[in-house]
Amino acid sequence: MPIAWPRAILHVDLDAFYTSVHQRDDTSLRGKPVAVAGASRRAVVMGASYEARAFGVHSAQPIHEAQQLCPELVVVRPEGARYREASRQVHGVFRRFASPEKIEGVALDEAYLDITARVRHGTSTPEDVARRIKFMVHTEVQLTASVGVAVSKLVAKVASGSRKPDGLVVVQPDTEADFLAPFPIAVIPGIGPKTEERLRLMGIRRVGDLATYDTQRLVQALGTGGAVLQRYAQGRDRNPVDGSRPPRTISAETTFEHDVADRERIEEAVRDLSNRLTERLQQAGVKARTVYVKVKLPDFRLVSRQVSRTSPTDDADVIFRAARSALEKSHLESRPVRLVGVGLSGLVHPEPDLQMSLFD
Amino acid sequence: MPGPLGQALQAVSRAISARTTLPILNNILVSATDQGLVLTATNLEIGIRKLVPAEISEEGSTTVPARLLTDFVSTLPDQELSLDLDASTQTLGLRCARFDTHIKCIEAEEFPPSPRPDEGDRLEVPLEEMLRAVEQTQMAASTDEARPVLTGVLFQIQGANLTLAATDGHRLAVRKLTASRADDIEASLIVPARALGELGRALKGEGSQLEIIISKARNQVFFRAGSAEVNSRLIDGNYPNYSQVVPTKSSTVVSASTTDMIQTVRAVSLFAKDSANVIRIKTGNGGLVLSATTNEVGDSQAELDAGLEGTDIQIAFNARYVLDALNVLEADKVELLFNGPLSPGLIRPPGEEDYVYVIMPVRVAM
Repeated sequence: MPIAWPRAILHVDLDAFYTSVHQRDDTSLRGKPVAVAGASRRAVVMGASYEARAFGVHSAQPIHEAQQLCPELVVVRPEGARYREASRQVHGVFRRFASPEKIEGVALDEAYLDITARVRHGTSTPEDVARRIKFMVHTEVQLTASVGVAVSKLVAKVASGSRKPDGLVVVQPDTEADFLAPFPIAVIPGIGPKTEERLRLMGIRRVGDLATYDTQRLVQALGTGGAVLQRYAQGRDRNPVDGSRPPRTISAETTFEHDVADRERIEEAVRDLSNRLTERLQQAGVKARTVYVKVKLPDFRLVSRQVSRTSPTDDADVIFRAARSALEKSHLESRPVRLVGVGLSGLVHPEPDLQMSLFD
Repeated sequence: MPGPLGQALQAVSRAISARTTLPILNNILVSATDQGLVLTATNLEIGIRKLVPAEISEEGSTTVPARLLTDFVSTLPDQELSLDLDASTQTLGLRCARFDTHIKCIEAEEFPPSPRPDEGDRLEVPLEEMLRAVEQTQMAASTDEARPVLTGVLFQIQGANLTLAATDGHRLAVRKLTASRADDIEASLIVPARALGELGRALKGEGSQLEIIISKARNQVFFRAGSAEVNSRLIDGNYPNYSQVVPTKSSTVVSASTTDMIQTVRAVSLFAKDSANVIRIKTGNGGLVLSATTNEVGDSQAELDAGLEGTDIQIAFNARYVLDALNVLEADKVELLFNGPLSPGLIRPPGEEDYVYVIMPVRVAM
């Protein structure tokens, strides 16, 4: 009988993300202490490789201080585009295991996944999924990740951080409190330096102390928030994985150098805009229900018309045809136009279409 | 007086688009004629005309901002209202009870002339029956404007036989009716569902017969009853061959009480919250079991007494499509015919040939 997971949540944390990307792409950096930092003398360390961390180099440290600690430190400039690309690839792996609504990216190198639906039927366990994600990230993106598995975000995050790098820690349901007990209370979200100090004065140092402390006394000292912190300390966290909601709208527009009255030229511009938008739709992995066209007349008056579809689409041709019919609806006749724009709204993450069709 | 005028204003205002590029189309053309007061509004696709009985002392016309006039008249007491136009300033004076009001208007010449019925083909159908037929089909039309043809209702006319058909690609409604008088016509028209949706409001109570006039160029249709008229442009294009998707055989026939089924589907489908709105229907134990489930919400299952013939079946549909049909069936009993879980299902009043509703199932793991 497999263990029932009321929720199965993964916290995936890429190990030393920034420097790992550089070490992956430049073999000469491998095995060396590396830090990512800006060019200014006052720059701070954005990320440090494990080799550098061994010297005491850490994030947010002024770079000159880091160089004093580790004279051989190789400092590389940040390259946002490469980090974003790696992160995008990693999220591509995530999407094979959870829908975008169930993937919450916290930073480029850190995300929560709710895989409850994936493991519901018992054909794979949360641990299997975590292993497969680690494997795919390693083979496809050449990065290592530490993964925590638990019934809540809080416990999953503590778990992933507890055995880095390349770790996998599974906290079985109903063992959360025991798992958390030995950690210092600072791992609990909402406990900043001030609260930590107050709790320390009350004799609370470890999560376990907080979990078993008299609730009423905690509330007297910290207010109702104290009880909330205690629940977290007991591993009771019901916060949902707050995945990506698709953007509300995406749009693009063209201003003509000279006002255009020729219908064919306007349609050509609309086709061009539709193609550009479709590309962005597909990149974002969403589909649109509504297509709108906006037209600015020479007197700067804006006219906008929309066309709704029943089923969301990301097909360039369908979007163009909808945009064209919206254009017709704006009854332009042969009035000249300064600007034409196409927009998509009602954006949704596609769900498998199970409704069968009468005419195929 | 404001009663009938207010209703007529509301009916014609339905033709006005919320946003229009031509400001004059925000106005209602108001004409004092020897027949009475004629109100006309249009969005260039649909036009609605109503006649309000009135005593006319001088003929003339102007266009009045629709929203303002309609809102204002609706607040007036049910007493005599007099309208007079100062043509030089295009100001319409309204006097009713304690109110003395002046509305700035735009000249009638600015209003685009509407198409008039020419010597085109005509047929006549009982008004009430037509309104019912429209109600039974119009909801199956698509709202997907990327496929304009499906946003209309197909009118197939062969002599006195009129068939209305509408589909959005997932379900299909077909209603047959007989004209009380018809030219020897053979025609296929695609009438925008939105225009048909206005027939009820605009024509209800206007006599017992509806005249349908198709313009010679076959690009406009006019619906006339009594003194009211709705006209619409027709949708250009080829309508899909719907008759081939109406199932001709079935392996399971179910019959149930319509009201019980409506109530059951409504209740159970509150738990069909996913995108396809799935409700499952299963035969067995001398009845039906309807069920729906959504992970984060919960599930619901209900039994329903039903007569069964043929093989047992499990099938799933979009609950909304099922309800749409049940709500317009107008029969105490409903008959459901199935031919396997992946073939279209058919809903109809038992033994009735004039109305059929076909739904494509949803593919689910049972």
